[in-house]
Amino acid sequence: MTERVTKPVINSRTAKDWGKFVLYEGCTMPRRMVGSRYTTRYVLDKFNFDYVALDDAKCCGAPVMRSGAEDVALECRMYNLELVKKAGVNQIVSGCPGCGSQLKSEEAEKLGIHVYHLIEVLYDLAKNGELYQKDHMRPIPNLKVTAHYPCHMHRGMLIDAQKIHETIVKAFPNLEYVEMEDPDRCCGAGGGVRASQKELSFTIRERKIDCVIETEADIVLAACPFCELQIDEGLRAMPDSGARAITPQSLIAMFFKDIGREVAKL
Amino acid sequence: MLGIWDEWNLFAAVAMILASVPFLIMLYASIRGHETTILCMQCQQCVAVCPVRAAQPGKYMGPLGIEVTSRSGTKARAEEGGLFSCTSCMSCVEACPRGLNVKHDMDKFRHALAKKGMGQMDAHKHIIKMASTYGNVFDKQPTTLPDIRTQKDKIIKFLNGFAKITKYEDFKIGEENQ
Repeated sequence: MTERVTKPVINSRTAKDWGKFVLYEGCTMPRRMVGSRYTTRYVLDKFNFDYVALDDAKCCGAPVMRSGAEDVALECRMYNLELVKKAGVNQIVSGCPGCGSQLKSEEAEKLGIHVYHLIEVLYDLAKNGELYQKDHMRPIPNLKVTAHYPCHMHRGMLIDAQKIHETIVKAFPNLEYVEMEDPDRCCGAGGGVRASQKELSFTIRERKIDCVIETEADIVLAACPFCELQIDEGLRAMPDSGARAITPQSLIAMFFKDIGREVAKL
Repeated sequence: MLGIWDEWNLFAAVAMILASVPFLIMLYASIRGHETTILCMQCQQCVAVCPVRAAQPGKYMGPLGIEVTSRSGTKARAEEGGLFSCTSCMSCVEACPRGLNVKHDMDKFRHALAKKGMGQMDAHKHIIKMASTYGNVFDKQPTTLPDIRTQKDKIIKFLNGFAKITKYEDFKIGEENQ
């Protein structure tokens, strides 16, 4: 992995310190990876975050930008930023790093809007020692966990993915964190490639799947719903692999005793 | 015949013109949005780390190739070389010793190519149409996000499936032992 400068991870804000923010869900989570959509909201509710999910939010513009329509992409970005501004909130927490890096822009800065990725929220909880809720969680099973560093989180939003993932996993007893080879290597889904050239996308993914399998991990964390979709699909296609790709919030949500009851109430 | 001071002034004027040439080139390149291509020293670090290049050796021209093509303006070559195959992973941006934003150039060049009706595949046109019409790239539904309550069955299926990995054998949503 190339040495690089990321923004320093120094935060350890509580839910109260975070204040109100807009949860930007993007396209993939609400329409394809609905399990992660639910667990995102569940975890934020569980830790008493003050957030609002905007039902009128549109595509962030990232896939449109990669498809060659910069003007439409910028319209999409501005629409969403104006929507956040109208809601009277100056923070966006995105569940998808592709959306996060698209929204995190000069335009957002001009409007006084700060854009974060959900994993930064989870990291704060881990650093504060709040993430592991012994009384409210089931016994944590012995699991080997590795992590894929989504390109737009690691390089786009300049988040120190290695430190954050390790801190989150180590917040729980019985979870073992193992770093895969080339964790920051592209999974092949982005840039409109999965949509337009599936064969190429899957060829790029092969290397990622090999790296996951080499770790013998039970779970690979993918803090991007599109990477989650791509890697999980690749792992399921491997008969010898029992591993699953999952977002960090889904792993955390699964430990809570009452998640089943909460889902049943929907 | 020129005096020594006149010769010196002539020399200084020529030297100033020559010294300003790189700045004028950079100014021109900046106005045209080509500063990245001018500053590229062709070290090939971007090519070495590109996952698409690794997956398609010999077919995908890679970030450097696309930068050079961009500089020469041969758009048809960029189309052939797979400009629309870039996954926008930014490995090239990270690897570039000069810190050039190659991804930004890729976006600009894709836009320029698409405006000329080149390079885009049907899937790209579909993405643009979906985002413009429905506000999302997946479903032909109005802009408003789906109500999470309508997704209950999928959420249950997801969690029940995941419980097998976490080895919570008693976990089964919808059953008494939850």
